[in-house]
This record gives sequence, C-alpha cells and structure tokens, in this order.
Amino acid sequence: MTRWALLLAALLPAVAAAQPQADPDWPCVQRLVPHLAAGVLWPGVPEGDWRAEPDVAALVARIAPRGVEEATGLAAIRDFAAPMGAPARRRLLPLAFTGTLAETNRQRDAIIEQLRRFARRQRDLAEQVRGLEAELRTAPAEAREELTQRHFFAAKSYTDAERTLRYACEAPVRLEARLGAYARALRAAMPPE
Amino acid sequence: MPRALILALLLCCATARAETIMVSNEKDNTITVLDGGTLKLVRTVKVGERPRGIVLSRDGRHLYVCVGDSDRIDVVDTTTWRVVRHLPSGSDPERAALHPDGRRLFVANEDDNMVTVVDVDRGLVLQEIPVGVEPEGLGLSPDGRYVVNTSETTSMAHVIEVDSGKIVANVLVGARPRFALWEPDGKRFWVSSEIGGTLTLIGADDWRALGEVRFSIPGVPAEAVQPVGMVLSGDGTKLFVALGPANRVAVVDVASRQVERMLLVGQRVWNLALSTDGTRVFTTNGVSNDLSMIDIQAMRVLRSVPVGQAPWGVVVKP
Repeated sequence: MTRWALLLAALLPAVAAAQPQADPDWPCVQRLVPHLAAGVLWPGVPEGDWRAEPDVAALVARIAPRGVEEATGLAAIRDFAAPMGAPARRRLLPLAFTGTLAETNRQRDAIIEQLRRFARRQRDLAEQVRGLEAELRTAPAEAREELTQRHFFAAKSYTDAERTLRYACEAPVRLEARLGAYARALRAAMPPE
Repeated sequence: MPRALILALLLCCATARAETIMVSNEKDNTITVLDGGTLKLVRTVKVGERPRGIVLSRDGRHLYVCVGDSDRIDVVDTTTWRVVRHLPSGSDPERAALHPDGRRLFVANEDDNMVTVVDVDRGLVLQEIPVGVEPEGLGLSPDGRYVVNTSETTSMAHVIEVDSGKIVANVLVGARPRFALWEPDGKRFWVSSEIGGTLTLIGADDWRALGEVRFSIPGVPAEAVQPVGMVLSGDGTKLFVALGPANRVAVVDVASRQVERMLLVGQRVWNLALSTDGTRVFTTNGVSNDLSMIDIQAMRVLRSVPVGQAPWGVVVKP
C-alpha cells in the first residue's frame, strides 16, 4: 500500500507540472497546441474555400482520414499534381493544404478531447485512492481487508492507465507529422515564383 | 592546369567539409551519424534508452550521450562507433555540458532536481548540486568558472560557481527556461524560455537581465512559438533560435537584439549546431524526423534529410 501511495505521490505532481499554466485537464508532457495553424507549415496564409473545388475536396477526403498511411497520401498528392500546369498548381495546391489542415485539426480536436477525458478520469481515481487511504487509517480491523482490496484496484487502474499515456499522447503528434509531410509535398509541387 | 585546379578545389572542399554530424534520436534509442558534406547516412549507433543531450569530448574521440530512461551516460567511441563505457549520471539525465578542462561533465537530472558533476576519465560522480525543480539547460562560461542551470518549473536561471558548487545568483526569466548559451567573451549569456516564448540576455557582472527578445510570426499562434535550442554564428553577431512547433528558426541580430529573419524548417525544431567552418546551421526536427541545413550567407534552408525517430540533440565533429 505504501508503495502505491508513493507511486501516486510521484505521479501526480508530474502530471500537474507538465502544464504549469492553463489547462489542468491536459495530461501530456507535450505542451498543448490546440489548433495547428496554417502559418506553421505554409509560408503566408492561403485563401479560398477548398470545399468549392470538387477535385481538391476529393483529394482531401482521400488523404486526410486518420487511418491513411503517409506514403499513400503522398502518392495521392503526386498523382493529383502531376497532370496540372503551373496556374492550376498555384491555385489548387494551397487549397489542398487548407483542406487537409482543416480535416486534420478536426481529428486532432477529437483526440485532444479524449485525452482530456482521460485526465479527468485519472483525477477522479486519484481522489478515490486518497479517500480510501484516509478511510484505511481510521478503519476498524474487520473493515480493513475490503478497503485494502478496493484501494489496490483503484491504484492499479490509475497506474495501468498512466502507462498507456505516453503512447496516447503521441496520437496528436503523429497526425501533425503526417500533415507536415503532406504540406512539404504540396509545397514542393508548387511552381517556382 | 585546369585539372590541377579541379584537384585543388576538390582537396580544399573535401577538407572544409570533412566533418561528421551526430544526432540523438529520442524514440529510436540511436545516434544517427551523417557525413557533414553530403548529409548522407554513414551509420546508426545503438545506445541506451531515450537519448537526448549529446556532447563531444575535447579531442572529439568520444561522444557522451545522456540516456535518460537508462539513468546513465553512454560513451560512444567515434572511431569504432560502439558504446565503450557507461558513466554514472544520477537519475534521468537530459542534457549535459563539458567543462573547458575536458574532464568534468555537468549533467542536468530532470526528475531529482540535481546537477551531477561526473569525472569522465575516472567514471565517478564528483559532486551533486541541488538546484531548482526540473533542471534543464546547462551553460558553462567560457572560462569554466560558472555553470548556468535553468529550472523548468521555477522559471529561473541558477548561476552556480563551479569550484564551490554554490549558487551565486538566481535570475527570474520567462516560463519554462530550456537552454543557456554564453557569448564567447564570457560577459553575457542568453536563456531561452519555451512557454514564455522569450529570450533573456543576462550580464555576468551583476547577474541582471539586460534585455528580452520576443517573437511573433504572422499566421502562427503565440503558444506555438517555443524557443529552445540556440547557437551563435562563428563571428558571434547572429543568434539562431529554434522555435519548436512554430517550425521556424529565428535569426536574431546580437547587437540590436532585433529578430531579422524567420526560416521555415522541419516540424518541432529543437536543437541546433554550427558547422565547423561556421557557414551552416543544422537543426533537429522532432516531429518530422529530419535534420535541416541552413546556409548562413544565403539565410536559406538548403536541404532536409531524414534521421531517426524524434531527433533531439545534434553535434558536429571536425
């Protein structure tokens, strides 16, 4: 029991310290960047409505879903740009970037919300563990066995979940990496200015 | 004659570029070794878990690698490219800096609030200096008298006198300070703050902040501007600053403290290194898993090449 308590004591401040300001519900070491901005991947800010261009919208629908492998998406971008002349590339490739960015942000938002729910659940569990510890300190002998069991399982749920956190926190990063690769491919296909 | 000229050119440039770039890959547990001239992969070296900070020995024969999850320093022989020794480091070493004596390695231990001083020849811990919460950046003054350690959580730069091991000054800087870099004359040092999004310039005569540099990039939200790694140009007039998920390297004019340029590099640019001849800056990009090369004269990103997963530290060996 002491080991669990120590472990919890060690883990909780780490969760809190990871985000010294702002969002207490953000459980990851990575600083939360709520939205990926166009400017981090594209020089200047592209304008226009990507949904108004059926070919662009079709490309976005092909490459943006979460399960699409980066290599598959890159091949689709090459195929998309290959038959186009310079004026079409200048007009459509920035829109393809805008569309992919918007869709990626939508998916990232969902993942970030899941991570927040995770953080809230962990906080509730930690509260529960602390409460059980307080109860155990004053509990009569006959109640101890059950309390100890409940404490064990609550603490175990907490630490098991915590172990999956590092991996879960990588999901937004993986999406960001794929978006970056798409942006570079689209930029590389732009005609020289 | 033309042939002799070509030969001379080849020789000159082969010498100028006969350097080796080493990159630590945090998620691969490897060091990527690249040819500095061609940026071609030379080899990949397996090391302990979660390699981040890397430092070359004075003679360039060894690379000290902080392997945080293995709680030690791995020593890589840069001729045989094998881990030849382990050094003790304290818990979770993240970043290290070598004293000008070539013997004392200062290691920041992120999770036990210590700076550990290791004798690299004897493989012994010489000293453990308690500092602020989550020590991070380490900058040794050029004369080796002081080491500046930044504390992530308390937002301070602690100036430690090396011989006594005493903290002589605590300077408040921007939130989550990450990196400390001295100017070559030892009169001032710069601290980058990841969450504050700023640089602080601190004078060494009275340990007071002399000024601050802020960054703003059109189309990029302020929270994505996270200054981390820094490097000075060979002549000390330009400061290059990695801005993390803003995917930019800022070029700051040291004299005027003005931001002169923003160069778009790979994603989550983290640490920087200068080429031996001082003409290029190499950047590690942790999300796009590549290394970008900036040409200082042209102020342009010339190339990016893939390295391992989550590249973190970078050094150049002549």
